Amino acid sequence: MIELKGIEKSFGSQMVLHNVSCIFETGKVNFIIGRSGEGKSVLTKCMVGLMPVNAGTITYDGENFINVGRIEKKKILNNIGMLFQGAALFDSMTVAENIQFPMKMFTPMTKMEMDKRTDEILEQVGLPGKSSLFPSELSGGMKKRTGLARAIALNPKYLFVDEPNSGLDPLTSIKIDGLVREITDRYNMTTIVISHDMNSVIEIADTIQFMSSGEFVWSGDRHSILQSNHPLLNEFVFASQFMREIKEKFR
Amino acid sequence: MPIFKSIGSYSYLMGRVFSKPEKARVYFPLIIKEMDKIGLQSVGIVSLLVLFMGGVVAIQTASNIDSGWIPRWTIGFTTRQSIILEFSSTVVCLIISGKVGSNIASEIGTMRISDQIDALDIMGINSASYLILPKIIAAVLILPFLVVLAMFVGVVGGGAIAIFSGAVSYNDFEYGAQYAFRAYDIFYSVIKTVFFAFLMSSISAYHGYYTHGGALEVGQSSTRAVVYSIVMIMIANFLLTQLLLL
Repeated sequence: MIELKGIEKSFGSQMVLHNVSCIFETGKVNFIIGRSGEGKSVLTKCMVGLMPVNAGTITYDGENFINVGRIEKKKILNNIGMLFQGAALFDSMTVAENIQFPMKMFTPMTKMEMDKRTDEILEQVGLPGKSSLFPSELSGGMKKRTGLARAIALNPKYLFVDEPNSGLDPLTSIKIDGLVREITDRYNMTTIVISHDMNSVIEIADTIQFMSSGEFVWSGDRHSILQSNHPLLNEFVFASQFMREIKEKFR
Repeated sequence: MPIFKSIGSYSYLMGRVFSKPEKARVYFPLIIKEMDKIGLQSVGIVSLLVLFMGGVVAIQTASNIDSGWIPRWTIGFTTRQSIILEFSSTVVCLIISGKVGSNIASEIGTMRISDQIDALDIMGINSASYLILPKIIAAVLILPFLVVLAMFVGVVGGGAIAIFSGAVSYNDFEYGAQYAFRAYDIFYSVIKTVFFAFLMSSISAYHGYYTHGGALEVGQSSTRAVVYSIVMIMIANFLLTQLLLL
C-alpha cells in the first residue's frame, strides 16, 4: 500500500501539486488519469524520488519515503519497478542484459540463475527467444514488454506504469493492459498506472484518481466513472461525440 | 550568478560520482570498455595529427634558422621540446576533447532525455557514479599512454618528415633530439595529461548529465562540453606550467 498525505510541489512560484492525498491499495491496479499538464507525471516523479516534494508524506507499507537517508530510500527503491512511457531501455544492452541489469546490481545470482529468471520473465511477457536482440531491433510493443520485464525482474512490491499504451495499436495496447493486470495479480503488487487511455481504464482499473490542476478532484472505479456527474471528469472521459453517445445509451 | 550555480552543480555532481559505488566489481568491465573507446580508438587520429605536427615544427624551425651561428641540430632539439612539453599533452588532449568529449556528452545526454538515467535512479543506482566514474577513471588511466605514444610518433615521425624533405640531416636531427634531454619533461607532460583527462571527461559528463529537452539540446550540450573542456584545459595548462616549470 502506498499512502500520500498532503503532497505539495511547486516550481518557483508555480504550484503544481496542491495537497494531494490518497491511498493506493495492494493487489490492485490503481489508475491516475487526467489531461496533459495537470501534474500526473510530477506526482509520479515525486512518488519514486526523482523530484523532492515541498510538503507532505509518502509512505510505502508504512515506511516513510520523504526525508529519509540514502540507505532507507534505496531499500524502498529496490522494491519499486517502473515502466517508462518510452520504455527507457539501455540502448547498449541486449534484451537479456537489460532484464539482468538489476539482478546483477542487487543480487548475488549466478549467470545461470539470471539466464533462467530472464527466460521465465520473457516467457511471461510474451517475448520468448528475443533475449539477444538490441532495443533498436524491437517494435514499440516489444520495447514496452521488455521494459515491463525489467521492471519486474526483482519481484518488486510496487509497480509504476507511465502511459503504457502511448504509440501502440489497439490490439497491442490490450495485450499490454492484460500483462499489467496479470503481473499485478500474480505478484500481489501495488500497481499505479498513469494514463490518458480510457480503454485501459475501463479494461483493467480497480481504482481511479482523476487529477485536475494538481489535485485529485474525483476518485472511484471503472463502473462509477461512467455514471459520474463531475463536470471536469465528464469533459475528459466523454471528450468525443462517440463516447457521449455511448454514455447516453448506457444510461 | 550562473557561473557560481554551474560550479556548485558541477561540485555536487562530482560528489555523487566519487561516492561509494553500489557494486564495485560491476565497474571494472565498464572501465575497460571506456579505455578502449577513449584511448585505443583514438590512437589512429592522434598518431596521424602528431606525426604531421612534428613534421611542421621541424620544417618551420628549419626555415627560420637563417643565421649561421645557430646550429642545424637546433631543429631536432626544438621539435623534441615542442612535442614533449606542449603538443603531445595539450594539443592531444584538445583533440580528444573534440572527439571523446562530445561523444561522452551526447551519450549521457541521450540517456537523460530518453529516461534511461531516471530508470537507473529508480532502481536505486547512483546514476552519476555508474555512468561517469568509469569514464573519468578510464580517461585518467589511458590518456597518459596515448600522450607518451604521441611523443614518440611526433619526434620520430616529425624528424623523418624533416629529413626526407631535406630540411635537416639525419645526424643533426638525431643529435638535437638527444641534446640536453630531461626525463622530468616527460613527467611534466604526463602530469598535465592526468589533469586534462579529468577535466575533459568530467566537464563533458557534467554537460551531458544535466541535459534537458530533446535532440536539439543534446547537440547543444555536446558543443558546450567541447568548448568548456577546451577553455578549462587551457587555463589548467597555464596554471600547471607555472607550478611545475617555474
